[in-house]
Amino acid sequence: MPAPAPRTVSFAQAARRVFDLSLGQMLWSRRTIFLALVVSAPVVLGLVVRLMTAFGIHGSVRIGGAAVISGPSIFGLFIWLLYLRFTVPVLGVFYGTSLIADEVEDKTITYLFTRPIPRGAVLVGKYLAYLVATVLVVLPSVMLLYFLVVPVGGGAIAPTFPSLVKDLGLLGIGLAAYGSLFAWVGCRFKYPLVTGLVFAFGWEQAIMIIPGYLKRLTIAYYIQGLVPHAMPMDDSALSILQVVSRDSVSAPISLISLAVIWLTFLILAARAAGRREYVLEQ
Amino acid sequence: MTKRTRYFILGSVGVLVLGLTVGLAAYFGGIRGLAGQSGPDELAYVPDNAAVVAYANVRDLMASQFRRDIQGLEPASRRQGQDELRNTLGIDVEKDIDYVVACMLAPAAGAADHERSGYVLAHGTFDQPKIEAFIREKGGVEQAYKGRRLFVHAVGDDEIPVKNAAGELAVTFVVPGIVALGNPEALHEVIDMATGSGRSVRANREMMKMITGVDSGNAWVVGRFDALSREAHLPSDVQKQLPQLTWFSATGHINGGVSGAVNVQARDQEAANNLQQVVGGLIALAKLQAGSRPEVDAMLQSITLSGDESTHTVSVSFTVPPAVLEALKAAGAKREK
Repeated sequence: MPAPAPRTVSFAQAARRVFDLSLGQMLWSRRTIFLALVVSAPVVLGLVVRLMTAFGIHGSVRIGGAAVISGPSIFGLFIWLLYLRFTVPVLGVFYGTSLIADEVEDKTITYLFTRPIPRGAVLVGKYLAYLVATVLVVLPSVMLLYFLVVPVGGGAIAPTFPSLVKDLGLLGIGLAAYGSLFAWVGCRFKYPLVTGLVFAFGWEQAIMIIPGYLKRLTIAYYIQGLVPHAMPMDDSALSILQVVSRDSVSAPISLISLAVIWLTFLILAARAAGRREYVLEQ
Repeated sequence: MTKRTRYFILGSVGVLVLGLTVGLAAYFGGIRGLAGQSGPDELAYVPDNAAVVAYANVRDLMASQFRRDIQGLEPASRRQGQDELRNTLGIDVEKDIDYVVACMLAPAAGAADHERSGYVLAHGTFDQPKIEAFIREKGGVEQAYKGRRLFVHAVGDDEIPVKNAAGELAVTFVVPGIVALGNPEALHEVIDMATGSGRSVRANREMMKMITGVDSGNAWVVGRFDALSREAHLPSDVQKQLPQLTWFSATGHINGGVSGAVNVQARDQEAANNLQQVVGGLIALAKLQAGSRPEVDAMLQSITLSGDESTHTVSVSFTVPPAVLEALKAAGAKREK
């Protein structure tokens, strides 16, 4: 009697199964402690600002060298400086680069790749798990921060609510774009974490202050075009350089560019995961 | 998916849904407390056609170290203005008033540009019968409008800008604890609103949006830029460029020193970029020239310039630390010698 033919699973079904498996692993891993620390820091800072207001010293709150006295302004600065310029890239680097790298390091990649599912689906499933895990942690923390900080100094919830919705969407887009880029980095490069950190905190930071077209080779440039808050600036050399080199990109172009970046790097990452030969060190 | 992962997802989604529901309800005015009316309650007596609205927490300002520091630098005419108010109306600015809301009204159709109209609403502790008796004693004429008492008094002091062309200053008690001072015609509008027959500035969404942005300072001003430029008597070349600018606002927090921000909203992003470049150039020039004067240099170094593309707004924030005031005072004293 011939052996039954292996059941074929579609790419989407396979990705979903990997997603189911990976989401729990990702949420309850040691890396989650890092994630919790990163997203709780702004909330703690927000609490400090709120307490300072309660004790009547909010007029002296200074962020980026500038005095900020209204809740909506403080919230805008938190979104700019803590979430978009730090939290989103850092989560993208740490989670995105580890999607495949962790399996290689733990020598468990063999168990995944020997299943009758497309290799690319493994990467896509893990990427979706990353996206859901980070979105589920980052967005509630922004929500808490919003209700903590915006009422400071007479700020009202109602007029600033549209900005919050934009911020939440923007953070989701940022996590998706950075995640797909670093997923590709994780599949393609030998030292993905170092490469990712150099890109996020070296290349992106440096190129944003240099005039010219090179900043189009960053994700931060397109995210900047969507931010609903004023860009915080002080009189530091960095700020002056950013003003000099600043050219704006319209919201539709930013959105299209981010969508292209997201899709391109996700496809490239899936292809790289499918084609690359992983040699496990014994 | 394990049970705890499912609970985690439910918890996170719950926080998001709850936050969005509360925010949405506040946005559509469903939650009064959260919809949070910006500005002082007295805005209910400012009409919706006000071109400029200003607020000052007099109690805070009078008690501030900053005020004590600049007291010696105040022009004598300002003290005369305060004296005139005390002599005419029996109101001591320093003791009786908690805060003031002032407004300048858009000129009526066909009115000349110089015909200013506006009033000041002062919130404080006033002995109404005593003040009314005082005004009568000083020659104030009592008038009635919609069942409310209005006292009209002729004043000669130019430091009181809210009087009308005939040089008349009127005063009325809107409610106990709120007194309105201004020209008689403008105070009729206040009484209209107090009796529920006029639309207040709270119905002016654009103005209220600007007020929300500056409400946290203990002194602020918001207004349409055309009103400001008309009052400033600027050169015609500069005037031609100003239609590009729509709104201005300034807010300050005054205590030991002064920290504040000035915002100007432009009609479009191109105008905002141009304005930002001009202001940036002026700041750079000032910084360059102030190098030899450390007291001014410290203040200029605190100036920051920023732009908000979503609202086409250019903002300049600054801080004047107490040390700078001391230095300026010393420099002023030296010059007087």
